Amino acid sequence: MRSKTIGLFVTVLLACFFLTAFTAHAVIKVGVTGPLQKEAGIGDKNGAQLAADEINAAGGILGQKVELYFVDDGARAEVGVNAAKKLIYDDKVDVITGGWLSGVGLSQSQHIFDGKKLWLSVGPATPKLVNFVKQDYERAKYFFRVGCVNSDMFALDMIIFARDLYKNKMGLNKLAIMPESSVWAREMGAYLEKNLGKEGFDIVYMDVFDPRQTDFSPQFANVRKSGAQILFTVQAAAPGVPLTKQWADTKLPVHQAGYSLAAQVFNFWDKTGGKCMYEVTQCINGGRAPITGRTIPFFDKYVQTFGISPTYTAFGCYDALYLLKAAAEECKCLPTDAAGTEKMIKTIEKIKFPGTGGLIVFDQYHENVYGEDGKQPVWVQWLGEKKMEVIYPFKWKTSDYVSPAWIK
Amino acid sequence: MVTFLEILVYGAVQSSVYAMLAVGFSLIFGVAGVVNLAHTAFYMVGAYLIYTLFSLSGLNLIFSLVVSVVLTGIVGILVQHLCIRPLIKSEYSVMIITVALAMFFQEVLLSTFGPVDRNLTNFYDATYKLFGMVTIDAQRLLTLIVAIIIIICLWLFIKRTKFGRAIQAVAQDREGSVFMGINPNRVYLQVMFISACLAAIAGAFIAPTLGARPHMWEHPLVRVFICVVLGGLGSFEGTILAAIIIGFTEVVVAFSLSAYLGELVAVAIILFVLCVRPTGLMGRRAA
Repeated sequence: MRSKTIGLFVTVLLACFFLTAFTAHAVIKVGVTGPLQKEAGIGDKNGAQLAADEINAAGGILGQKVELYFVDDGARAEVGVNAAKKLIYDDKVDVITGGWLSGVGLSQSQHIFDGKKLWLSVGPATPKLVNFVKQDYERAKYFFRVGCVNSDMFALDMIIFARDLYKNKMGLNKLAIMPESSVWAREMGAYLEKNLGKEGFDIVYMDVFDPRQTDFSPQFANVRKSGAQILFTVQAAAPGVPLTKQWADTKLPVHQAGYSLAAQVFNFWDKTGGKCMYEVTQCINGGRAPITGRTIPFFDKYVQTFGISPTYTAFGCYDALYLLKAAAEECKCLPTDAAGTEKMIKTIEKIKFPGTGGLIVFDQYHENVYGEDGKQPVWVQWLGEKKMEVIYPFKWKTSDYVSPAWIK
Repeated sequence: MVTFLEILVYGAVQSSVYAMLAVGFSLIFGVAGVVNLAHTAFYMVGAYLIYTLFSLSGLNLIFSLVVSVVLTGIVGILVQHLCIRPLIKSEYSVMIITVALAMFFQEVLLSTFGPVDRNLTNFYDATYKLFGMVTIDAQRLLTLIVAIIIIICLWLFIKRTKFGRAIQAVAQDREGSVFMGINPNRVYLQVMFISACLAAIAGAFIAPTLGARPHMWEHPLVRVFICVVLGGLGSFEGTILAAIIIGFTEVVVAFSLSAYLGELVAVAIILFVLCVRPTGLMGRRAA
């Protein structure tokens, strides 16, 4: 009788142990951080959710369901650090993705490295993140820039675009640059200032603006006086609305182009009352163009599901989850423990994954490769409500560039 | 010459915006000693009300403006009566509750309208060239004109009317005004109504250029504080002068150096002035 009781007790104990072991990693926990009240963070969330829903409907990753944990980083460094710590130590996620501002990403980086979590970074574009991998591979190897290319490559792409369209097709070469004051935008501004001259452009005016700035009259007056023909803005934290409205209201005689996160979303038309007509923006990680076979289906499904066009972070988070799936299937492993994470890193380093924003290939420092063999931004122009036409690269264009009506 | 005229016009626009916002804040402080940190929340409420009535519902502009301003004024009265008056003996409590109120309004608008910027249609769509050289859009020119008219009217109201004299009396000596048959609590309510209306007017006229968003109350609060402190707490004329100094400084710096440095230079000026004259440009010294 006594031995039967002991036997039963041991059996129950063993059953509990195996049950726990089996359910301990029945899910893959993916942490998504980003400013969830702003366009970029909404994109992080929606892109991740769409991918997770699709992946789970198809059976998960190696049979494990993807479970998402969203934490708002408020687009502020101190909040971002707390967000990262919550994901790592409270939620105990296996992978971290999302993000937006480079300043926030830089603040979070050391904590994510301490936590040894696979970090499929989507938003931050600063080259400084890759420098960590260069300087201390063992510590920083968890970082992969999935969602975009670094800001120097964005800027290079801007120069190529300006050369091919404005200079070669339209004969324009006088350029004004106005980056906002965030880390990555200033880095881009510096790159543009240093390299545009090599393509025959004359930078006639340059000024940095605070994202909270509401009146652009002095700068626009200086742009007018400088004789600039093109105005490149670089803005993500800035809402984009005041600058665009004042450009249109004052009929500033410059072609407005550059990078504007706000201008990548359908609701920018409503936000500006249609004054974004003719504005051109670089989409650094996808647009409605046949970049890969997955791009247009994703774009259309996203619009159908959420009613707005995807930001670059939406493309990025969607790709991050599918990249995770592809890598897991290749290495037959999951990043749910140290060994699995290590194997996953080695697999991702060698992977060539056709994402929605382009081919995802990493260099030796885990930087997303830019170019025809990697990621290529597209350039879109607003030509009506919900009409963001692709104008560049020319091989993917859906419309020719249209000059603003007030420019002769 | 062109640059000089541009500085003159754009500086005037910038100053008028700051003045419209700061004068209401200064008024309620000067009369009731209340540091109303929800003041720019009234500016935000005014912007959303005009958005709802004019841009969204398509109602007549004048009607929408009047209703938005009056409704915001009523909100101001309720805030004064229900939240500030019970705590008026403690300035710290008033500051805390008014910040909480501002955040409450923010969350209500966030829940109602969402985080996305809302577009307010320009009251009039046109571009002008002042003096044949200075380009300005109609909305900002209208803002400048309305701000000047309102500030002049407010000054005349305070200096030349019976009610204005009652406000001055309460501001000078609350107890003494009671002996003169003035009810200070009623004056506080009325001043808060005026203050909230001024903020709402600022919001209604500026928001078409910026859009309306739930966090739009935060940054202007800093500007308002700067103007009021530089001008001298409670000084109407000082606040106007400070708004002019700050507005023109930012524009001059933007033209000559960088727009990014405008705020830094403005704050540096304030620090210098306060070191030399701690009560502000036209503030009253403590007895």
